[in-house]
Amino acid sequence: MNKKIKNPLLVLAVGLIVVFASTIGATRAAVIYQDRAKQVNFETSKVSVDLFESSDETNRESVSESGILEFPAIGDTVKIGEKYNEFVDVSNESKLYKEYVRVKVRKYWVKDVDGTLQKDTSLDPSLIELDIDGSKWFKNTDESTPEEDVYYLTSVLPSAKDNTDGKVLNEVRFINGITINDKVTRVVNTEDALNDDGVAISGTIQNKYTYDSASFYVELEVDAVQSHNAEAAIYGAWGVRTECTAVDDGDITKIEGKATGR
Amino acid sequence: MNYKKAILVASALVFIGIAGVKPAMAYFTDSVMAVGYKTVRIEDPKLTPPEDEVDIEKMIKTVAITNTGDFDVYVRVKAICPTGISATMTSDTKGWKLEDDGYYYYDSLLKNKDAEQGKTTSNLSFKINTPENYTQDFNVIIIQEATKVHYHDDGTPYADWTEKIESQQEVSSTDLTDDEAASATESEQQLEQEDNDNE
Repeated sequence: MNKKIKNPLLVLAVGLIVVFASTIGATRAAVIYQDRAKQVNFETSKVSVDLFESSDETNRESVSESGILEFPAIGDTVKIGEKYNEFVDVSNESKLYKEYVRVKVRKYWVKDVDGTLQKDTSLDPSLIELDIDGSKWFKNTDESTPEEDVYYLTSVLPSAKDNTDGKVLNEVRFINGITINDKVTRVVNTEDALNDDGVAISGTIQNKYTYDSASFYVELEVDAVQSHNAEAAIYGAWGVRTECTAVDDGDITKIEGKATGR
Repeated sequence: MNYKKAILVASALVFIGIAGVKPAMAYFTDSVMAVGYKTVRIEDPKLTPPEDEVDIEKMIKTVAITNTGDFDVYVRVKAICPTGISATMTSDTKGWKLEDDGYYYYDSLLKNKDAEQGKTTSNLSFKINTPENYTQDFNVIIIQEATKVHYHDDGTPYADWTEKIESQQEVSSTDLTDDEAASATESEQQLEQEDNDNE
């Protein structure tokens, strides 16, 4: 073994072969004899969450696959100031685990500028009003921006196995309606009216509505984390310090030192 | 390639391999995203009075208003007469109500132009009253105003007349032929907010 290896490339090549070979899954050589009675089937449960959108009980649909909110209650024409029955529910899809959830909401306006859709930050996102139940969802204002809010469900969300007596416990309503504030109809620029040749018509003005042809966007991002070892799990997953009423499955009483009302 | 170079290459491969290993997840998590949008259309309401009806014998003028805009609107009408002349709503008029401000308000909102029904008011008939043996020419100006429908939180509609737009037509005692009256109704919508404020 003291013989000096003269070609280091040979060593490198052998090393690479060993590395690549180790990545190939080994075939099972052993023959397994097993009685059916001894066979155990299992699957690993996991934390899973989903969003469901609806305007009534007949059109409730998951949006996780498409990633698109359809706003079924609104239809083609947005009636300014009317509160639409636009419902969004958060559902614990885990078969076993309870979980904590939070939802990031982003609202903004987009306009078509010369054929290109561009976010228009001069338009007010707060005029896109979402009805969110503050008794269940805590808005952490430390994380809020004019465009984004973060809501925490202050209680643990049970799994489907916790549903009893026909009560659906693994779902919680997040959005209970959507309204475009009628202030959008009052933001007006008055300009000289133009004739067909583009020349100003003397003494005639016209209103240009700032929000006309603007599109309001609503983005929802729901995050779920396990409820075991709650405070550490929430901090590890979301980076948010919380205080909970129990090590596992408790209510969240404080978020970043602020009382949640629980 | 000497031995040192080979070591260097092998080290680089080890680093790349380590970088490719995903960090272990300490906690069970999941995440779902969704986005939706709708486009808002806002413009001034548009009104078109339909063909005018004037019964010169009985001195009755009838108007009705059609919403030709993209939004549901509320409408109101006012008749302005010279001194000594008056215009009063006839008893057979339905759906209109005279308020203290002198306007006749239509009791329902008018649907937008895309609606199949409900975008035209019922007839509002004015009896134009003149003193006995009145022989002078006079004009009666009919002003029709509209404002977009707003909605309360509970979904009930309401009118905000500070946002009104107006059009008007003039009824002359001298040339009230059907054709001319009809053409008068087709006058373009005008934004006369300043004039309205002065009234």
